[in-house]
Amino acid sequence: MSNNYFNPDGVARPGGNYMHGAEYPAGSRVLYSAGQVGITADGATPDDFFEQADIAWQSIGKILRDADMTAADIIRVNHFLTVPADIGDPFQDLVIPYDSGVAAKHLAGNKPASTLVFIPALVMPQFRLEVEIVAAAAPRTGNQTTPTIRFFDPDDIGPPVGAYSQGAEISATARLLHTAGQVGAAADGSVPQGFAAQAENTFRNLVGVIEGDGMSPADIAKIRVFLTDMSDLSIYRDVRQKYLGDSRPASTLIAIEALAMPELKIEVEVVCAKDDSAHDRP
Amino acid sequence: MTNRIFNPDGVPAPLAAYSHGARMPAQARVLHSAGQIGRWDNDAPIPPTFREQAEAVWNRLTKILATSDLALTDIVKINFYLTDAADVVTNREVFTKVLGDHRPPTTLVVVSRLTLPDYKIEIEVVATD
Repeated sequence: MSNNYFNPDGVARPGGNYMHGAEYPAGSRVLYSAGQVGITADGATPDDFFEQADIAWQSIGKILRDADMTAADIIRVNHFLTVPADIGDPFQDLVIPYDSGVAAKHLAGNKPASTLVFIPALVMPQFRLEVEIVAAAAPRTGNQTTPTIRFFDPDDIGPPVGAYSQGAEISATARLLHTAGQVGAAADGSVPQGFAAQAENTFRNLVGVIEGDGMSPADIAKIRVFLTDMSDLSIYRDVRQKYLGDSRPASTLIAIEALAMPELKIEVEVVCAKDDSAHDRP
Repeated sequence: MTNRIFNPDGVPAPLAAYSHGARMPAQARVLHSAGQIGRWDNDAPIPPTFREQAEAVWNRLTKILATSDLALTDIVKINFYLTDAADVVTNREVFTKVLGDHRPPTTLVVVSRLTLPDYKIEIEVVATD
């Protein structure tokens, strides 16, 4: 059994180096990466978009390597870019040089399901793209025991710039929980004006959802954070620390233009994993 | 095994016709779709309205799911990327009509642009049975 990539009949062919659907079989172990940016292990960031993209993709490759996977195991890619001109003019060129160049080189023939959007900002103003992946592969052979989620940081890429991990590898026996994006509504449905109060409500709601399925913050494999204003980052980190404590999921954090209501300033979604059968083990 | 879509006690009700969590079974196959844009074909004009684009997106997603022997009711996560917050209400109308009683967890963000300037919506889904 291996991953299945396809383009259905009746749907326009993808306009780039990707496929419309990517499915991994039951019994796969699954890797979520943190969003990767163009920062080298020694902390340097080139100005050039393509150089940044190459560094980010090299980091993705090292995360895959440390999970005993390769680019062929990637089933989904999300590209978040800040400068529309960096993809050229798709109307005129019909190809996106980034997609058919740097990304295709690192994907090495694989065409996973992909989404590419432009956003107003990343964590640092000099970053021009952030790339995250999901990959899936057969369980490792042998009888070594692995945690339900193995959090790890490759030692040859830049360390996480926050309380998160670069990779989260989920065991093949775990079940997954997807949450909706949580926002800063209070118990009575009202939305406070301030960012700190919204962040508190957001994380309280998020933990409520997770616990509502018998999980805890330690079971978060992947977290995606959407902020309307990157200057709220430090408050976000404080609130997150308060609610998630020592958990270190793979993280992607981006600024967006707006959320579903004009007053909302933060939205957070997670993927959690838990092995219910593990309860039976001594 | 089927997915369990839920809204836990103590968490404010969702803002629209979605749910807060989707619990997936262990040992399940999982489909990820690419982000779909609202065009019927690559050489067809891009529909001018948000509603037409959103309907085209759901048509494509339905075909993608079907190719994997999955249905709209197998969706466990939806991510919406809109380019204009003014389209939030129309987006809700369209997806609520398409999905009926199935209310998976969703995330909606407004982005600066999609790959082409005239695209107004992109949607990606995760599904499992």
